[in-house]
Amino acid sequence: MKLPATMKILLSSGTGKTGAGFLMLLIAVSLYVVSVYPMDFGLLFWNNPAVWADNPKNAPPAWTSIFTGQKKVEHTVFAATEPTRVIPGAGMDTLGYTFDLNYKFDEPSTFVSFALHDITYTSRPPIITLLLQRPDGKEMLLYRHVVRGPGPGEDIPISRYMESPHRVYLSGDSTVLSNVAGFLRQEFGQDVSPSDLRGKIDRIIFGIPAEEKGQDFAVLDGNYTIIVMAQVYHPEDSIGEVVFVLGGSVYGAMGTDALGRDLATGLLFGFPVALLIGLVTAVITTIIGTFMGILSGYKGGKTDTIIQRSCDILANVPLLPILIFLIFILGQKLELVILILIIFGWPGLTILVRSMVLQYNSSQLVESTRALGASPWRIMFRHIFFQIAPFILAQMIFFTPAAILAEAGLSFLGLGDPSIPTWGQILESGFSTGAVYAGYWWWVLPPGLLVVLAAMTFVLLTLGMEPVVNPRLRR
Amino acid sequence: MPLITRLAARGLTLLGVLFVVLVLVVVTLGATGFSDRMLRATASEELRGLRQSLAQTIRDPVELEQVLTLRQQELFRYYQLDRPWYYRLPDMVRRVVTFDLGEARTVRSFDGSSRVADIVLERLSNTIMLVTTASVITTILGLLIGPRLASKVGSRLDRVSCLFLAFSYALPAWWMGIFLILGFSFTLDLFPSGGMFSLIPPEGGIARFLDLLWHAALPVITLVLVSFGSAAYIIRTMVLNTAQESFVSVGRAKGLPNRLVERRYILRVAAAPIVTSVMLGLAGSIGGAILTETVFNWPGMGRLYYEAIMAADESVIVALTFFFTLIYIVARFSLEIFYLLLDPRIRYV
Amino acid sequence: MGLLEVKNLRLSYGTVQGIVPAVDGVSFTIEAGETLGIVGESGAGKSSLASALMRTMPRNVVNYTGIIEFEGSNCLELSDEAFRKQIRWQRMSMVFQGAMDSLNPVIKVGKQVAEPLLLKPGIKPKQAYATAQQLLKMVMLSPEVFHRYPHELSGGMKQRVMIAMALIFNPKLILIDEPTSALDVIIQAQIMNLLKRFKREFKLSILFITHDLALASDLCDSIAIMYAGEIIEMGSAEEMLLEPKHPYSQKLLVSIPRLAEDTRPEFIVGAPPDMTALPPGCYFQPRCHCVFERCLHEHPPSFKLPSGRLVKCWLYGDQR
Repeated sequence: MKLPATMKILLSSGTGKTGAGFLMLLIAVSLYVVSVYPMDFGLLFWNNPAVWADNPKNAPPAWTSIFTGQKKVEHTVFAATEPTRVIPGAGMDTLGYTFDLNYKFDEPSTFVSFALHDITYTSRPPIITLLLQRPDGKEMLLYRHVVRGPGPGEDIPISRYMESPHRVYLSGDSTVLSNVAGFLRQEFGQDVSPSDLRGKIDRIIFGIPAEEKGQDFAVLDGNYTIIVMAQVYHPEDSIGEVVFVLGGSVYGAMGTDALGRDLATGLLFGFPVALLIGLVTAVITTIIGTFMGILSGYKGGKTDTIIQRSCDILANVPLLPILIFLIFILGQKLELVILILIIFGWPGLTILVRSMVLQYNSSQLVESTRALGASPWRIMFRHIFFQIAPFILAQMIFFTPAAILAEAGLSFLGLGDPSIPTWGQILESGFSTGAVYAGYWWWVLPPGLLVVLAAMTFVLLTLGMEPVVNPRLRR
Repeated sequence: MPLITRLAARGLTLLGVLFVVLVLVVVTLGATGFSDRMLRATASEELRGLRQSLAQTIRDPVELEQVLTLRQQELFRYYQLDRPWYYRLPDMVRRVVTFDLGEARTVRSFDGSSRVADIVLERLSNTIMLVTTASVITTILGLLIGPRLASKVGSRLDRVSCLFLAFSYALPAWWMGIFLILGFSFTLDLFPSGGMFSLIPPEGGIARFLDLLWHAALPVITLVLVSFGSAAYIIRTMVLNTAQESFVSVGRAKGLPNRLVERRYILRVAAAPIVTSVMLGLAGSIGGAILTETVFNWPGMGRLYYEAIMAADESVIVALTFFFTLIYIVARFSLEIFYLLLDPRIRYV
Repeated sequence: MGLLEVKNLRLSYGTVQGIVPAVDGVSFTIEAGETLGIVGESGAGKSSLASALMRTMPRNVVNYTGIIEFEGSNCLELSDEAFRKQIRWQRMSMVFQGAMDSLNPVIKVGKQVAEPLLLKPGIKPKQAYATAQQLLKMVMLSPEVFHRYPHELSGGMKQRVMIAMALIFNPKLILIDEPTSALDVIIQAQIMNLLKRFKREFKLSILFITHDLALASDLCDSIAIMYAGEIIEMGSAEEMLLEPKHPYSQKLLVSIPRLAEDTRPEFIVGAPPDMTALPPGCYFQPRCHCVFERCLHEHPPSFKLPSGRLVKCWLYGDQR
């Protein structure tokens, strides 16, 4: 049967259509990820704790606020590489960075932090000031920092914070504590010693002293402006990046895990990986299986016996235990998983293909081409192959979810390839750290659901292919 | 006699499977130096014991060292550590087959034994209990649902069910388990999240049994949910194929009641191929059992796999790999016998 | 009144191409002890006719009308359950093609023969098995066949089993569907002799379905020729063989090879009609050697000739 006809039958059924739709989705997301993500995403980002240091841990997705009714602070990172404005002055310029924050949450932030990257200066070290303009019109000085001056023998221009940024955890910083205490005294007339305010910084920054008893501060919603002022003394002086982090208790589209990793990015990266595992395994398995099957059925005799006996044995090896053993001993490599899946996967197909070849081998078509003097190879791969092609295509689609599920299962047992994050691994890290028992559903349910989606796609396609393979079911 | 021949042929193939797995295991262990490490650990364990006992009698440290070095060489020769790894293959095979795998590194049996054989064997019954219960339920459900779908092939019910069955096939056991834990254990608090008995098991036989049932509910449901879809689908297809045979119309024409025709002319005839498909699904349920036990902390061999991987305890993993293969082969062979009993065509040809 | 009277029986299947007629207004009568042969090419609707009588049609039947009057009761008015309990197999049974897999492969032959009897209330298994054993003996099978599985029997033996099976209730009428196709000539002759003997000994009424006119003439009292779901000619076997009226019957007759005469068998040109797209007018018109204008436009009714013969052909239109 020709490919267009096959496609037509496939798309005529609901299952086939749904499967094809899912497949398009998988491919589209995978293409997006491949074009946007770096190839070594696993090592460089996913498994690099420094990248995720600022993120809240175990934070549910932002949209869960809708269901809980309480507006949780959405984790937000404000970053700028270029100043919003430059105010020229005498002998010095002031670089101003402003960020607008519309605070509309029912709770104070979990923390706030501030970071400076890549500062270069020529003569005097720049002075950086962090201010907060509040909706009640009050202005709060949070933090002031003077970049370390030139050391003896240091060359001009002087670079600071190139390798690691200057990062201040504002919620726990002692100078911030005294700044906040000063603010309270000046604006609200409250005389509190800084040490008593420890752990309350977020509640003061985004709040006002509470009216009712028992509560010391109430959340103040409204428009805040975060202002960073940097005084520089030379036109060449520069600041690479200014970062202000509003630590939230909910995060992004899919939440975070115990390391603060943005689960959405990991889940997205899983798309091309799953597709790759499934397709590479299925395609190679099918090629080998078909070739051996046709060879075995067509040649007969000793070749047939040897191939069939080996197939009988290999096809009967229980896969998961062997997979666990080999990966454990030989190392956690994705390509090794694929290789093993192929080694134990092809014999099943070979047995099936052989039986079909035997049917066609005695068919009139093949008999007559043989009589016409066609070479055995030509008969095998032109005439016989084309007869069984739709069946083989269906088998190939059928193998795909098996490979995806096998890899996911293996990853779940802690034997995933650490350099490539997969859905199974995300789930495993949730399971092994007890996320299941803590109810962190956003960590453990989505990766499994995606595995199901990917596997379903191919199962549906297989079901849609059924009428192609089994004409009796054609309606 | 052909019966015996066929059984012997299947038996030989299954033995071949066992052999291939064995060779694969020992060659991998040998070539990667794992067997070296295992044997050296055993030898040094022995030497440490010897040093302690000899230290009582031999006071001179130099002499002690000499004796120990001599003993070490003897031991190395005994374990064939003085020769390349491939000379040790037959001995390794013997060790694996007889479960002579020495001591586990960190994993212990429930009563504290560190012998690999003890650790693995005490969990065997727990795994078999779980898998058998789930398989029986799965088969019954498949037999109830499959033929019903076949009799309504093409209908809306059939198509919707096929989608659901596809979903069931695509469901990974571990994820289903986690889902059930989150739903029925964490949120609703109806079932325990894992284990086989309560922390303090209730007294008395019946209470204890009920406690076991209560703990087994979620793992069994998980295994059934992930496997009955493909079982029902396969049975549906088999029944559909058999229902088109002409002897079925003959049965109907003979005036037999519909239910009898379905049972005796369709199901009974399709039974043998159904058993074949169950056989082929067996390897899958072993995989499912490993993952389900892991999720539910069911103290079976599957959970042991996870614990051994986490503790990097290679001898336990070797034992488990071999044992799972062994169970699989025994189960396959029993089903093979069952198949022969079901299908007279093969029994007498 | 005959044992079985069929009037204007219709049966169609619903398929992707639309509604396809299989039996298209068939009427005939079988008297007690009479044997009627239904002869036609494959696809003419013979087997559909048999399944319509036995009510064993596939699920996709859309139109099942007419009158089937059997021993005075109209079968079409009976519910499926009543038909099964009162008529099927007990009074009207059927011999299927035994060489095909018409026997359940996992049940022993004896049990399959006795099975319907075993289900009757008030009949002891011993009794049922004895009857089955006796029937197997009557179809000249050795007693040990009783304990065999179908795959251990040859095609001829299976066909005998099928015959024995049909006789278990001592029915009034049996339908016999291509009993000898796929059997070699010697076995074929044995089976035919067996059927002739039963016809004589039990005064059975038989509806004999075959594609082989010669075979039908050997056994039947009268013969009906089917083409495209219709009976196009019906008459006594003797007359039908000596003097076929319908052009198709004539062609059918000369297509039989003869040993004694020096004529070569002729083939009927063209292919059996496509039931999904029947030609206008007479269905046989595209292949007919006597075709004239009227045949192309009008579908012929059945004309009754003085001899009692029924012919569906415009050639005999003026004799009405």
